[in-house]
Amino acid sequence: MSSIEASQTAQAASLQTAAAEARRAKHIERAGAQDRIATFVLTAIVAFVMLLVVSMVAYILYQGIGMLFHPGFLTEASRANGTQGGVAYQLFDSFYMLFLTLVISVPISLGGAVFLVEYAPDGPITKIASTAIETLSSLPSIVVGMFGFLVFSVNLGWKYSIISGAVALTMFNIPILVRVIQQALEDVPQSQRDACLAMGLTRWEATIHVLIPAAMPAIVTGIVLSAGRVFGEAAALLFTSGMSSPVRLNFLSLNFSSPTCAWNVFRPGESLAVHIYKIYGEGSPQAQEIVWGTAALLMVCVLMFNIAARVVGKMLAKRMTAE
Amino acid sequence: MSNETESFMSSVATSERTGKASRGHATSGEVAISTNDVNVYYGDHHALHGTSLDFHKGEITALIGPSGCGKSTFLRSLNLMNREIRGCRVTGEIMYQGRNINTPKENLYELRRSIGMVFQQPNPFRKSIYENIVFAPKRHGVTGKAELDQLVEESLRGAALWDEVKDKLDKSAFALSGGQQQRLCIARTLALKPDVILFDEPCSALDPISTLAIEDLMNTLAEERAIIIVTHSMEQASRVSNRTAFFYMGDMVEYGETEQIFTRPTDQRLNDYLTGAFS
Repeated sequence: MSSIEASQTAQAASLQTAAAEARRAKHIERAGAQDRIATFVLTAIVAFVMLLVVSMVAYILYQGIGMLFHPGFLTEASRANGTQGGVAYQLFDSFYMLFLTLVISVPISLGGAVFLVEYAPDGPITKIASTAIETLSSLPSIVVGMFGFLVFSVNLGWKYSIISGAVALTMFNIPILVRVIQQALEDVPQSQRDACLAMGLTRWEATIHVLIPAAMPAIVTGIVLSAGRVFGEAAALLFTSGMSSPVRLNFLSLNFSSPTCAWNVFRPGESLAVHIYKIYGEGSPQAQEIVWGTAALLMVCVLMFNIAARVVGKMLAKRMTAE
Repeated sequence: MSNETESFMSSVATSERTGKASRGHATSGEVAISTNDVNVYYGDHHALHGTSLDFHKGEITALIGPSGCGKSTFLRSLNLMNREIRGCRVTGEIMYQGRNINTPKENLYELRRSIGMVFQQPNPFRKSIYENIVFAPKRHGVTGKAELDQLVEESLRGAALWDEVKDKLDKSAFALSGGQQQRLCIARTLALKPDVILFDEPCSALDPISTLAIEDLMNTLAEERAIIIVTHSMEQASRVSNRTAFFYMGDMVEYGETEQIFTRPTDQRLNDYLTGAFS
């Protein structure tokens, strides 16, 4: 009796284990299948996005590369309201405004970020400031342009000018930079601050001599990347720097009030992106070629900013860790 | 390889020798720093209740207890580092060099030169070994190449690191091993010539051999200073310290000669902690 019972129990048990085994095998199979499907879907999405981006870049280069290497395109001024000639002044104006923007926005952003990370007490004012910066960083650039037009061009009487444009770009750039620098400073380990304070150094000394240097690679990368965005900006400039460069610029003149002096910040200026916008509507085939050439030029410049950001960031990081 | 092993072994042996020697030493009895009814609050949370302790020059005092018992909080009060934590408040008297330093008038920058601190994770700066040491002294007004060079050598010798790094002072501190980095942090502290050094679990991120090297070093440092160490390792406390204070749930429960604390505890909670009833 007991032997029969025992064999029955054993049989039942072995059946049970077999069932469990089968369930487990099924589960593994199912999980494996899910994993394969997920891998396939994700790869497909990435491939699709890559294809989009690459074909866009390739198309613009294909359309514009001829003009880019056209003699005089990079060195001559535009003629006939932009439909003929080159984009030398637009290229210069873009870089000049970028330079002015960075000169104004980097110190202010650095100060703001240092204050928010190292000094700002917890409280409503700090919270409001942080929220304001976040909101500003996603403000549509055309709104920044409108504001810049009303305040700088009209109220301050700067009219359409390089400086109006640069200040509008500054407003557009500061929130982005503050956030980048804030992040870079927050990523420096707390132990570095503690080390400074425990040796009787002030917060300021810690910030200047330890925290900013440690955050420098990330800060520089952030600045250069933001420069790429500023460089390609059009909407904020339409009403501030204007839609035309002077017909003739004199780069050797140091008479800063002359309307033809290249360095005069109160003369109107036109960035590459605005130039594209302006002459895109012109019907002539030659104007279209200039549009594509300018687009290709803009893209190559932004690409170079991105590469420069990587290279410089890596170089700084390397120099600081392995000196 | 074998050379390295030998030097490790000899450093271990030294550590045992000096350890015993200093433990047997009669201390000066001179109080370097003392607290009277120190309480610490984080916001509404009363993290440390009225603690009064004396720390003597020439001695190592260990602060032990389970996690969250208030021992690190207490340690960070001694150089007023708690002031750097938002919402943290310290009451009571902390007597140092004949004055109460727990006042708003106290000059933190001067104070922290003479009360040094070494942290749990080695935290050298992203600078060269040389710069790591001269950075703070320079900010505090030490100038002159010769003077700084001498300070670097003295401090590195004091931290038993000179022989290992003397040929690569311009190399990044990040290239050193964890144990070497921690000794560099000690050297950096020594460069300010402190008479009290606070160690906040200085060996918890280190391997056993580096740990013994640091313990050995603490024994030497204690000859002319007061050393206070927070440690999770009871073995470490019993190996290095002359006196031990046991903290539990924000109270300083028992304080005495290390030998007495570990062999004849009077408080039940300390007894339970030592026998492993909780940790």
